[in-house]
Amino acid sequence: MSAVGCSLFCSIQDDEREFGMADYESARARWCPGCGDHAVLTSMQRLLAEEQLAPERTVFVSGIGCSSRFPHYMKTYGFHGLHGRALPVATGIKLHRPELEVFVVMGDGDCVSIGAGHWVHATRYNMDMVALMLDNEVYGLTKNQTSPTTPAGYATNTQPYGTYLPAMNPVVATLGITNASFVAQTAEWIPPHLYATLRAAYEHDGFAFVRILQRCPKFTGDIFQQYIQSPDMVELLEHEAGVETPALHAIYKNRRRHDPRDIHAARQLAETDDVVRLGIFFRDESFPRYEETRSLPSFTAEERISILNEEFDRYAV
Amino acid sequence: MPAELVTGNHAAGYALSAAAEANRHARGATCGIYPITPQTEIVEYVARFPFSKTRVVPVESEHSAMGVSIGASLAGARAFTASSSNGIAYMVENIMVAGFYRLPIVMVAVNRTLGPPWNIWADQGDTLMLRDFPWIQFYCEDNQEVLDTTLLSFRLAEDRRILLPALVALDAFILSHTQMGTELPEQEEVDRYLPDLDLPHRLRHEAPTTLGGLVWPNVAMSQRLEIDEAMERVPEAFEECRYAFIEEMGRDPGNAIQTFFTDDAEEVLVVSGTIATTAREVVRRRRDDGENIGLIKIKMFRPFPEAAVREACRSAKKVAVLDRNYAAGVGGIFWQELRSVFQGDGDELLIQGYLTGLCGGDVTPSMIDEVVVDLRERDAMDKPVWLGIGNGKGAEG
Repeated sequence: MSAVGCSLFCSIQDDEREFGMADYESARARWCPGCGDHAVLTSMQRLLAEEQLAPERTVFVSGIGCSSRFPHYMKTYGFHGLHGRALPVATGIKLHRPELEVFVVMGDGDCVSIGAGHWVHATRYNMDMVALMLDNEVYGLTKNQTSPTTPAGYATNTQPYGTYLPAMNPVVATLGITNASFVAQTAEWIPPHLYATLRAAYEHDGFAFVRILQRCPKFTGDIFQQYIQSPDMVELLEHEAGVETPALHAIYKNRRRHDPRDIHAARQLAETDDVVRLGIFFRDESFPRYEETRSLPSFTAEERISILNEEFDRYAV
Repeated sequence: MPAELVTGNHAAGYALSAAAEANRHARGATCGIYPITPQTEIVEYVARFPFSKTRVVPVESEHSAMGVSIGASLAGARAFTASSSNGIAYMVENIMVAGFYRLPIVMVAVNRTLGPPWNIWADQGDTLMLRDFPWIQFYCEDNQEVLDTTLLSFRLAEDRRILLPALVALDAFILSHTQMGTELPEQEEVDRYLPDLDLPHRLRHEAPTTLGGLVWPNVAMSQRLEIDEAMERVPEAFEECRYAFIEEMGRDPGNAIQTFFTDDAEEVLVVSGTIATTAREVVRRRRDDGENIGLIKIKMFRPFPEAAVREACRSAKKVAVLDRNYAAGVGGIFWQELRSVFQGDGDELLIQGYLTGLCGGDVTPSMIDEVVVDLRERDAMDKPVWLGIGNGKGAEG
C-alpha cells in the first residue's frame, strides 16, 4: 500500500468521534403520547450509542404504519418504503453493503399482513440483520382496523361486531420457518428486557426476528394493561445463551429457564398461551446465511467467453 | 328523499351498501375490504352496514381485496371494493384481471398522490395509471355525484352489452372528508334502479368450466376486440342508465361531459373532479365581464367521450386543459387525451396543458385566472405549464 493510501486508511481507522444518544436523534417523534414506539426508539438509540455505531454505518428500513416513521427519528441512513416491503429492500441493501448494520422496523400490519410473504422468505434467507415487529395488535395509522394479531372478539372498525378469527401468533409462525435462526419476544413497557433483547438480536449472526408487544394507547391500550398490572401473567425465559435480566426478578417472579438452542421446547413454549412469554425462544448461529451462500467463484474473461459459448451451443441449430 | 350532510366517503359507502342490499333476491353481494387513507371510511361503512345475503371480507392487502371481489363476482355476487393511491398500485394485477374476465365489479377510488415521498392529498395519478385497462372510469365533482355515479356504475357495468368493471373516483379530502348536503335514496328506489344481477359467465353447477386457460394469440386478440366493442357501446348504455336514473330518482347523475357556456366560447377550460367547481365560478365571473369563455367538465374518462368533446369545442380557438395528474416526461393526461381527439383535423386549435394542484395542492380562483391570462397571450402550444409549486419549500418555505 502506498504512503498516501496508508494515511487515508489510517485516518478512517482513527475515528475519534464519540456518539451519545442525542447523536442518533433526528426529528421530534410525533407518535401519540403513551405510544410504545417511543420506548423502542429510545432503547434503539441507547443500543447504538453503547455500540458506538457510526450513523453512516447504520441503516433503518421501514414500510408503512405508525412504527414505520422510525427512520424519520433516527439520524442514520433511513428508508421509508412501501407497505409490507421493508424486508426485500433491506435484503438488497445488505447484499451490496454487507458492512452496514441493517435494522428493519415493521408493524404487525406490515410484517404479518400485507408483507407476510416477505417475512417468511427473509426469515429463510437468514441474512445478518435485525427485524423488529412492533406489534400493537391493530392497524393504528389507518385508525383501528383488525390486524392478523388482533385478539378474537375484539371490536374494530372493520370487524365492528368482534374480530372473527383467533389471533395469529407470529412467534409460533416464525419458529416454523425453515432456517429461522433467532426468534425472540419482548415488551416495550419493560425497558430492561427490551434493551437486553435488542442487544442480543444485534449480536446475533443471522436474521434476528424480534416481536415487540407494544401498546397503542388509542386503540389497544386495554389489551396489554392486564400484563402491566399483573406481572404474574408474564413469564420471563432466561438462560445464559439467551437473555437474563436479574434487575427484573423482584417484579417478575414467574421465570423459566429455557435453553434457546432447543427448537422443540421453543415451539412448545410459544404455542401455549396461558401466559405471555418474553425472552429468546430460539437462537442458532450455525444456519446458512444467504449472503454467504451467494458467494460465486470469479472467472477470467476467457472463462466467461467459454461459459457463454457453451450456453450458445445449447441453442445451436 | 331525505338530504343529509355526509362526506364523500359516506356517500360512496351508502351507495355501495344500498347496491349490495338491492341484490338480495339474487346472489347477494361481496366485497374484499382493506383500509388506506383517505378511503378507509368507505370500507368501514360497508363493514358496519348489516345488509342481507352479503359477505364483507376484511383481507390482508388490496391485492386480495380485489381478488375476493373477483372470486365473488365469478360466483355470481354483486362485487365491489374501494381503495386509493398505492393501494391501487398494489392492486393493479387483479384490477386488470377483473377487466379481462369481464366482471362488472365497481370500485370507488379516492384519488390520492402516489408515493414516495408520502403524501395523502388529492392527485389523479393513481386511477389514471389504469387508463389502458378495460375499466370504465368516472371522475366526480361533489358528494351527490359520487353517490349517484356509484349506483349508476353498477347498472352500467352489469348491462349485458357492457360487462366491464367501473371505477368511480373522487378527490382526497376535498370530497372524501368534506360534508355536503346529499340526497340519500331510499332502498326501494335503489332496488328498482338496480335489477338483480345474473352474470352470464358465472360459475354454474350445470356447466362446470375453467376460465382463463392458455389460448392461441388470435383467441386472446379476439378477447381484446370484444372488449373494444363493449367499450364502444358504453356511451349509449351510459345515456340509458342516466335517463333511467333521472326517472327513478328525479335527479341527473351528470352527463359524460358537462359544458358551461361553450356554445359560443372561443376560449375553453377543460377540467375534471373538484377543480370544476372553482373553474366554473371563474368562468361565470369572466362571462359577467363579457369575456367569451366556457368550460368543459369531463366526468367519463374511459371510454373518452371524444364526440362530445369535439362538439363542445366547435367554436373554440384555444383550449386550456387543467390536469391534477402527471404522466412522466409528457404532461397532464387529460391534456394528452384532448390532443389525441383533435389530432389531424383540428390542428388549428391551440390546446395548452396546465399542471395544477398536483400532489394535493390547492387550485384557487387566482390560479385559474393565471391560466386564462396565459392562454390568452399564447399563440402556439408549448410544454405544459406548472402552477402552484411556489418556491418548492412547502407552506412554510
